[in-house]
Amino acid sequence: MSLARFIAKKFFESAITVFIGVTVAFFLFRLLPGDPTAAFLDIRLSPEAKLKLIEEFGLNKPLWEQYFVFLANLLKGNLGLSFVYQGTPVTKLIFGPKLVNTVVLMGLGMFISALIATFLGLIVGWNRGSKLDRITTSVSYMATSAPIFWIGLLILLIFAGYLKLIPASGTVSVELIEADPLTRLADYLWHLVGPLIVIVIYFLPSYLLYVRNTVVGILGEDFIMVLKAKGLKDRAILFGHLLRFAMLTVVTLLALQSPLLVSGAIITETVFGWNGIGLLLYNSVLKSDYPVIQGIFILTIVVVVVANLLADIIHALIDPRIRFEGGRR
Amino acid sequence: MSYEHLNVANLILTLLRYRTFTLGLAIIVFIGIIAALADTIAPYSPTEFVAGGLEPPSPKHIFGTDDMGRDLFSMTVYGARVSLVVGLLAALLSTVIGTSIGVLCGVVRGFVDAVVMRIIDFMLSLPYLAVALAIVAFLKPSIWIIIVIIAALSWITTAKVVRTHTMSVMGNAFVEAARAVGAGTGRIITRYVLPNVSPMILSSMALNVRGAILFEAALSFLGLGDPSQVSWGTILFYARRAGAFVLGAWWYIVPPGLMIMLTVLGFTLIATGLDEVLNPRLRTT
Repeated sequence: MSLARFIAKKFFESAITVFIGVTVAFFLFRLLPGDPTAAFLDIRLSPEAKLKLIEEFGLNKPLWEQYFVFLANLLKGNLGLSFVYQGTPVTKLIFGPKLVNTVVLMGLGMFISALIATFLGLIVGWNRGSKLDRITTSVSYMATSAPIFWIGLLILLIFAGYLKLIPASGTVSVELIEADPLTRLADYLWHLVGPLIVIVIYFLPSYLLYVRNTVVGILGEDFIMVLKAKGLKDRAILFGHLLRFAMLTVVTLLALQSPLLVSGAIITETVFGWNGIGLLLYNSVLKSDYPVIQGIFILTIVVVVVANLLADIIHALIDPRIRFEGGRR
Repeated sequence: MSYEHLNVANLILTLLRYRTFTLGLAIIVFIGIIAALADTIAPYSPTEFVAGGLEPPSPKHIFGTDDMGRDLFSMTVYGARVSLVVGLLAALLSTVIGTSIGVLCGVVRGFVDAVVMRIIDFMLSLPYLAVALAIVAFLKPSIWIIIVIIAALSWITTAKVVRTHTMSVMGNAFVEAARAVGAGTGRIITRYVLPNVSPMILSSMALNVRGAILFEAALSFLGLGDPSQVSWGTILFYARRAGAFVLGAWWYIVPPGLMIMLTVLGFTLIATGLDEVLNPRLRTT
């Protein structure tokens, strides 16, 4: 299979998954107990907004017709109006500062975790059985067993409660809204520290264990012995040859664990009051803001599918065998 | 692992020689005893207001009290019951679903298998917590709904593992021999497939319990658990709501989280121990 055909096939599969996801989202939110239009209409909306929605989404038509109208509207980026945020369009609410906040938090968190995991995993795997290995492995196991929200609460207790080093909640300090950009950026970063530490603690242990185990597995392979026999220094084998495997492992994990990204965002943003998509979803659930829940639901499926698609493509580029065997897994 | 019938007594004896397994088992037995004897161990009712708010640990209330004056030790003890029941039942249910689907796909193959694999691919890209939140948003959360939601979202790994192993069992000569002498599909499943796949089912179930306990804790922490039950996640929900971290009420935050961590660690160790015994290639030196 050529690379282009492989990518086309994966792209097609991803599109189908997204389509199924959108369909599930549509019917799930129509099966609400009570009024089938509850997914779009609510007493919290103004009468004019309601009429406009009935018109736009064909809410007086049969369900199957509504489904196609829904798909057409989705392509136009129309997902209805939020019940809570004074009828703000859902897409405007999602694709705004909130998404930026989430991307900053999760992106930085995953990047830092991947970076540490790759290098520490290499070193620990290379020295397997050493004291460093045993300590790192057991600490990682403990960390994967601890619930993420509890770690968040502990960090708040220690650094916000006792030491008063980080703010207890939020994304920006209210009194600095008018300040100059640099002060605001510093303030933003100051708020970011707590949630960022939690995200790193959330991702790092499983990445680290995975890289370590991959490295340990590879160390038993013949080519390592050949490299050693060739007289290569340890450092050259580690960073010249093993690093590639470690990076490949991390790329796979980033994609495979992308559903965790969503739970991580929901919980961490809730604990720290970080004004992102996770917190928006949580508040929308509490306030039954169905259009927003539905929108975020679709967004998260797209994110996960795209992450997997990217991983497949990167894999195919790095390792040509995959193209012939039909993909990861 | 060879496909001979595992002798259960032998398996248990082997397992008990593994430190990971015994340590995990010891932890779970300890938590299990707490859960079973909650009525005897807990000095107060977990829902009764027995003291002033946010009292630090004292001889009378060894884990202190929460913001509403409930005894945190009693709440933590009863929490073991909720967390274990939800974890075990949800894991049992998801293991049964996963095993049935896995065996079905592995035995029938063809179209059914292809369809199920697409469903699995789709479910793998679902953000579980978001889905669970969306469902709980419409339904009144109760312990039973939470169990069903967790099971419905977590059968996939079991199904995949069981499917792969079923296929490998079905490829064996003894299955062909059994068919040749007239054994039906049902008999092949009960007589050959299930006994040979059961070790994988066991370790997969241990991991399912772990996942279910963390899931329940997360839902309860978000305030979407069963409001009539006090689980460890619920206590931490109250703690956050009361701002225990700003007030420095460490006794409100530390014990329930430690209990979750300990229980989850226990089931992880059991699963790891099972894997080490049943899958010798993973054994650490």
